Amino acid sequence: MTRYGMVIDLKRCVGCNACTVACKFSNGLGPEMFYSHVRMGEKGEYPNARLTVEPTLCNHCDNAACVDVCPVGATVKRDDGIVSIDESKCLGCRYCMIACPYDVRIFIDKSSATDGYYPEMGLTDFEQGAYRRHQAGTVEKCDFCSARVAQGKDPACVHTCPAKARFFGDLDDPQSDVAQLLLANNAWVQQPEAGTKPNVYYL
Amino acid sequence: MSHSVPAAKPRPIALIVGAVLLAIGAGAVAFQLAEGLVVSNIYPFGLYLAAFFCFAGGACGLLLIAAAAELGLFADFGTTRPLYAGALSLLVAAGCTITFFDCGQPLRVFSMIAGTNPTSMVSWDFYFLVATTVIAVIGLFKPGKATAVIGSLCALGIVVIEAMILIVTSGVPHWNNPMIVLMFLVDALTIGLSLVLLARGRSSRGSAVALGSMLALTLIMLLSDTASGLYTGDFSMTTLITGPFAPAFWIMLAAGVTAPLVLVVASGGNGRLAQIAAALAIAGVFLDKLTLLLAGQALTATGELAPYAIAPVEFAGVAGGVGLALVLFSIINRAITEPRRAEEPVDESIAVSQA
Repeated sequence: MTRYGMVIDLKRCVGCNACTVACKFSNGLGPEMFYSHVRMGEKGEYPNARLTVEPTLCNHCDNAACVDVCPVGATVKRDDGIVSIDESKCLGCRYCMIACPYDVRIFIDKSSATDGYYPEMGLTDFEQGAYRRHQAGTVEKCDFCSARVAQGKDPACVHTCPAKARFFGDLDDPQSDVAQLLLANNAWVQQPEAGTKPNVYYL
Repeated sequence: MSHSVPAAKPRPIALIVGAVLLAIGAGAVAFQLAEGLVVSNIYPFGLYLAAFFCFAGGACGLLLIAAAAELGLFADFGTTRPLYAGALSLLVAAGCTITFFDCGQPLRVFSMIAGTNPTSMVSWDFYFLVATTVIAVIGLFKPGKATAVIGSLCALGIVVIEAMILIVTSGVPHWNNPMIVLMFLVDALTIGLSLVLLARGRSSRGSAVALGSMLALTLIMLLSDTASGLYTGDFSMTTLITGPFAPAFWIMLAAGVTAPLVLVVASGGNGRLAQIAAALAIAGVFLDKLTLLLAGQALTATGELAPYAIAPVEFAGVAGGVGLALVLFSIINRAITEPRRAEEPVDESIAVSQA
């Protein structure tokens, strides 16, 4: 059975945020709204300090805390491993946002449909079209660009990454890139102590 | 229990204050309908949820007191109908606050009736709140031991479930503390006892001792939490002790727990002092819940401290919830409790002990 997952090679990632922009463009996300972003940090102290970059997105966990806590079953774990939200069911209680240890869910308020990147111009044609897909008062997150995946394409962030640091595929297919990478490397996941069994791995 | 004790008449002032607050709340609803629910993505749980926990906890406290009174543990409480009236008012206020103020899509709350997720604590909370509301209505018309026992079980269920909403949240380590169950139970009883003292307008040894005990327990739990937080260097506790939430935390500890404890001990039957202590204790529980919620969410996934600000509409919404509870209590008391109290026989022994 297909079980989609992602592998992010941090040795290749340059922290350019192209994935962040591609995600925002692909999903029509306005200012301050992110499904995926790059966490920047510092490690060590001068003169041995260095910058750390950690692209992050929904981990599509096997044991997803968000699925367990949703009172109306709006968040579901699909058969293909993608954790998705049915916005027509979501009541906007935000318990899933609290339960998620990775802070990758966002609440869509009315400003999400009215505030564009160029306030003095109003909404651009693109924004007017893209914002229609969002429903105010609900919670949203990355769904591995499931519409693109259904067409046989990679998620927008994977497709865009100029450093080829992101890999997407079926974790249960031993021939897939992601399975091969996991087999050949010591991969790690974010916050394993949370017990959510994430499907986004880091090298 | 059919005994009855002449209690303080419901004062129109409560109805007037309640109506004013309710009007403010109605304005907040209109504002939110127009502008939408504005929520920080870093602090999804805030003022509304703290108020909801207080309303629901207060209702549970009153139901537990009603059960204790029916079982003869608190002889001086007299008829339990006002307790059920209070519980019902608070449950409605809790339901309206969480539904109309705190949910992005309020009408979808009712979809939980048709289908729900049994692994979610919120689902269980919904069903227990509905069941407890039904029990409170029954208790208004037919108080008795059976209603009291079922009501107290439902109340305990709500307390445990609402604590579990926080405890099982893997994303917030600060809340993964089983002591929260005990804290919520003590908070529920604190609000319940405080409301009884406020509503009756006079102090009695039983209720004052009970409230003092709850406040003493709260103080012990908060101090031990603070000490363990200092010892472990827990980030969330640091935000409470010396960080951005420190003013609210220390004000809560001093004015919301310690001061009412001293006042209730010193009141010695002085109704006015006991009422001041009760009002402070309720404010203390509210601040306790709010600081617990905020401290847990203060740390972002990147390890940074997130800023927090309360929108004015949130205050208006909470005021509306309080107003709704006051108005409902006044109306129910006048329409149901008072006429029935007049019909009930007075238990002389209780009346004498009261006097």
